[in-house]
Amino acid sequence: MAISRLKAVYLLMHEFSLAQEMLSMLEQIALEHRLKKITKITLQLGILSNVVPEALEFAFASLAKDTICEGAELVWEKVPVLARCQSCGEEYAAASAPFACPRCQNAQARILDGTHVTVANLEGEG
Amino acid sequence: MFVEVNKNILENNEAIAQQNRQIFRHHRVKVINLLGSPGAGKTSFLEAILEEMSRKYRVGVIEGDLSTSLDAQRIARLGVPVVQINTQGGCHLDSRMIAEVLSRFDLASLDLLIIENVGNLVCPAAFDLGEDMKIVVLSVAEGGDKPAKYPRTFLEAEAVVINKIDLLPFTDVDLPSLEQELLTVNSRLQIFPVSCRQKEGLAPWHKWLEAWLGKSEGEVGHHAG
Repeated sequence: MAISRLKAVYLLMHEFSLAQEMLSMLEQIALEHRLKKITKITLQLGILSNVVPEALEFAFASLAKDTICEGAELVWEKVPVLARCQSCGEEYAAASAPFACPRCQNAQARILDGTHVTVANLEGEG
Repeated sequence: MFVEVNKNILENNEAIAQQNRQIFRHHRVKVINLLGSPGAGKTSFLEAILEEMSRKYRVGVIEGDLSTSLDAQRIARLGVPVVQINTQGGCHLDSRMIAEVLSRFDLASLDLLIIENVGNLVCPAAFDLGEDMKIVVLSVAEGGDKPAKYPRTFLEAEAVVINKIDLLPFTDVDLPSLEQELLTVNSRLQIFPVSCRQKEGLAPWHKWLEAWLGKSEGEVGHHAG
């Protein structure tokens, strides 16, 4: 289903600010490791990160022009939600909402992981 | 060359949010991050809170909007210290924007700071501002499917205010099913059906908020990220 124009603008705004944060972080890492170019970035996408990978890729590619990240390949790995049940203490992974506890069925999840986009690793040239 | 990184791309935002949180703790001011779609009634709800609470507590407000200071003007009329942040098209507030305006409040003299986020149920959920709790304002005019569509927002909230219940006869929303839907996502949610326009259903909310304000630091739940 096509997303509305307004929604598309919202999504892009969001991913642009995330891409900017990511780029600043990568430039800092490149400096620390004396890299002249970053060629490949492996990202872990939490399924509750509210991030659309395609939109982040587009934003990142645009912002990365004329930087050490220009043309870098982005590789995505999906991370499920990791939750702790506040009712029975069970820790469990869940791949989709509503994230109820598989042991006691209560919806009292304290979310431990799966809400972030993480740069796992990168490849570059010195 | 291969470099192991393992860093959250919002690491900076989270570090600044923690600094904000420490500043709030230091000044003993409790902080609410108020979320909701555009038009859900966040500002009307905020006005209702201020009318009740500003008699007993010292409350400050940060208004987040893409542009204009219309909401801040509404709040300033109530005699409450308010700072407007314009995100210039940005879909959410981030912790740096909050840090930048804190010096404009006399934090030591405040009991409660309410941050009204940009109208949006998606992006603001990803940005910790340093708040003690998130409250979501939902309106029956938006339809009953929001909890399932935006689970993260509701997973991280402590309470949901269902606004515009005076419009229920004109919508397809069934209030008990909406409440059930919310509890399916997060059974710890406190739910308050209200009509800000008709000033209906607000008393239980005010009571709950006051009980929360009376809690000591250690008892106040917050999401550190």
